[in-house]
Amino acid sequence: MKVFFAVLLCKILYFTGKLVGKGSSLPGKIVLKIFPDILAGLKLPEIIIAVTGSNGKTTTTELITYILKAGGMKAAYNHEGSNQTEGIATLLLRVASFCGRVKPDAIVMECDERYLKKIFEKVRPSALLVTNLCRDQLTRNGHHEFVKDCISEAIEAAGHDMRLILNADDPYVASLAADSQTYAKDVLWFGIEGEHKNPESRDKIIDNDKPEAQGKPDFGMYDDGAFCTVCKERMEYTYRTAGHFGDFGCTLCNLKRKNPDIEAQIKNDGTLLFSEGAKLRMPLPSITAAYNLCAAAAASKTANIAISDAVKILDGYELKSGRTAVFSLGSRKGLLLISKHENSFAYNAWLKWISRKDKPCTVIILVDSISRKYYTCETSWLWDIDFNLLACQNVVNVVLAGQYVYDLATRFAMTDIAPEKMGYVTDLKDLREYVQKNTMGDIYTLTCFADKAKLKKVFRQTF
Amino acid sequence: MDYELRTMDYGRDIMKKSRKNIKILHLYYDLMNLYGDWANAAAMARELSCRACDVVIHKKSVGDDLNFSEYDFICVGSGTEHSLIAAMRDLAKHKKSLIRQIEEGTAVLATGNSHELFGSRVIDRNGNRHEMLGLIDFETVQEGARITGDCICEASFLNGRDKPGKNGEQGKQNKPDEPVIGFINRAKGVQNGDIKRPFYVRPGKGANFKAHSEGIIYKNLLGTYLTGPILVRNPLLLEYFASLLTKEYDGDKHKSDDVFFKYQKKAYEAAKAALGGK
Ligand SMILES: [Zn+2]
Repeated sequence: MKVFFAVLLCKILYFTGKLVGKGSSLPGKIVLKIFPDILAGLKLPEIIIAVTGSNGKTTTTELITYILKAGGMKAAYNHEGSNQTEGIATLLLRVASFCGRVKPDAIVMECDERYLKKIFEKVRPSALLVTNLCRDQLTRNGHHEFVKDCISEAIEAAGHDMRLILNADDPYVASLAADSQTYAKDVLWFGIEGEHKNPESRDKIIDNDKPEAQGKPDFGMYDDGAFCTVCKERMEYTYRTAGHFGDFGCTLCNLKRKNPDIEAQIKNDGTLLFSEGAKLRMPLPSITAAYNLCAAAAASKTANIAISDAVKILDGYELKSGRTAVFSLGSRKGLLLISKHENSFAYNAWLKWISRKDKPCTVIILVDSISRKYYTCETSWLWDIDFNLLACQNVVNVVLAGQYVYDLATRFAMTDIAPEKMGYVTDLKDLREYVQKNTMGDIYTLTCFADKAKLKKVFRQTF
Repeated sequence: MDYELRTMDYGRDIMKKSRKNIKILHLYYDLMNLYGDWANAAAMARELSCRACDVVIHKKSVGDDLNFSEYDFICVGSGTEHSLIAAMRDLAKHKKSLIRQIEEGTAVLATGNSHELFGSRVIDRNGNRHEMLGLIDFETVQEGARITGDCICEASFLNGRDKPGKNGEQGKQNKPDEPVIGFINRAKGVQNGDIKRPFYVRPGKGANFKAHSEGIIYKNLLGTYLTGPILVRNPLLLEYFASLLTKEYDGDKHKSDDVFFKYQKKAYEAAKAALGGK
């Protein structure tokens, strides 16, 4: 009876919430308040894949669900992105029957890194995928070594029968297996091949032209791959694919890259070639996309879908949780690039991508609210981003805008971008006119989800 | 691994004899640089280049030879709790020479948890004791969780200090109500020890739960839990450190010509207002 009411209540709240455009964590929150241990009373499917990590959670969760569905399974995921305990409760209850059976064959759940242990207390997954661990939202996460410890505790608490799917190229993720004796054996590793086997991808996508790739950090750049996360001795790389991802090995302890079970190679034509021989076209030829696709294929393997089938399914797939949107300003083409604030990895990836364009362009950086969840004056993450990447010929104008324009301006004052290329707009109302009158070329606008709606207004578009 | 970088080269006129050579050490640049702390070295270089100085920044890390007496300004940034212990492991080899330099008045800025290095010990979340430099008598006891948040700090050591004027003239005195702003991001815990504190944190958390005081100050060493680019965010603090090195202001390049200083002030005012400071 309890289950019946809980499921009913959740469904009612979920659908009314949907009508008024409310978030998806509230139904779960209310139900858990009334029936705190209701999730234990549910009959769960065998396949429950939890997805966590700093970057790519949402995308990878979506990709896995898509593969499972195309592979003939019924699958559900928390597509609204509510990824703490309440959001997971909403997900499970809204797809449950009134007698408490969670109907789909598989559940794919995006989980907040720091709430993983709490979620696992309620729902024990069959597999846990960790995409990567990077500097991300440090105002709430502290730092990624702290986040790693949170994940590690959750893994220990979850017990033996949970499969781990880990990024072989990320030393922080790889150390999760090193932390745990029980898990050292049963890990499914995925990774991207370096240029030593794949010279043609060298300049295009993989990041070997950066001084950091040759072991020399540039002024102002941070290097989270410099030291081993386990013993803090120096680490060595034979190559890097991006940031601290690559073929790493500690000079003291035994932390080193494992040979991936699922490995893919980025080709110059924007395709991703898997070691099994299957090939897919990437929606966006970026290193981030490559990792997400590779991770999704690996995860589907734990649901008994062959890599070659997963690759076939993913070929040319367009993401629902789109990170780009096209717009226009008069005759000029514009592209909105969504990048989480407080996340230098995502920012750097877009900046690199822009700097490699051939045509002259204008870049708008908008930081108006740092997060939609909390207010902060913390802007130190701007100093982790390599804005100097925009000091290149094709970038003819850079416009800084939003509430944090002065913080951006001090950061840009430390780059080599010529002062006459720079523009500063404090009031968003003036942005459109400023860009029209003072800049030229294609327009790339970088901002985060929280500020997307404001840009919609500025450019009078529907994204 | 160490590199010498000649930064902020603009406005340099080699014909001018009066220029002063300044060396900045960015210590543990690749180990203790978690929250953009590198910008403190860059901001100092920028300020000093407007004060008739030629500035070089040396970046040094674990295993490098360190001769602290070479440097006019030393900065070290925040790291993870594990990284701090690794930094101390290396710094132990240089303990005597670093302490000697601090006693002799070298300017040192330690942001974030790196100021714990100058205390007696750190007791980590598992109860392990790690001996630190022992220059100042306090110990840091860490817990599992974290403390993060925006801060406004009263910094009485900045008040009443002479601001350098242009071309060596006597400057105005700082207004006593200009607070230091920043962000704290650290392991939850307490610091035991009855020591002199440079900051009184008004909104925001101090080094201990009840007291609102925070940081360390000893001769020209300043340490604080405020993380990252605090010399960028606080024009006054930047001037304070630069004035420890030189009071002259007759460079070829004036601060008023530089967008960095223009926007630095505006960013400070905007953040202070948003945080509810006066
Ligand atoms: Zn190691």
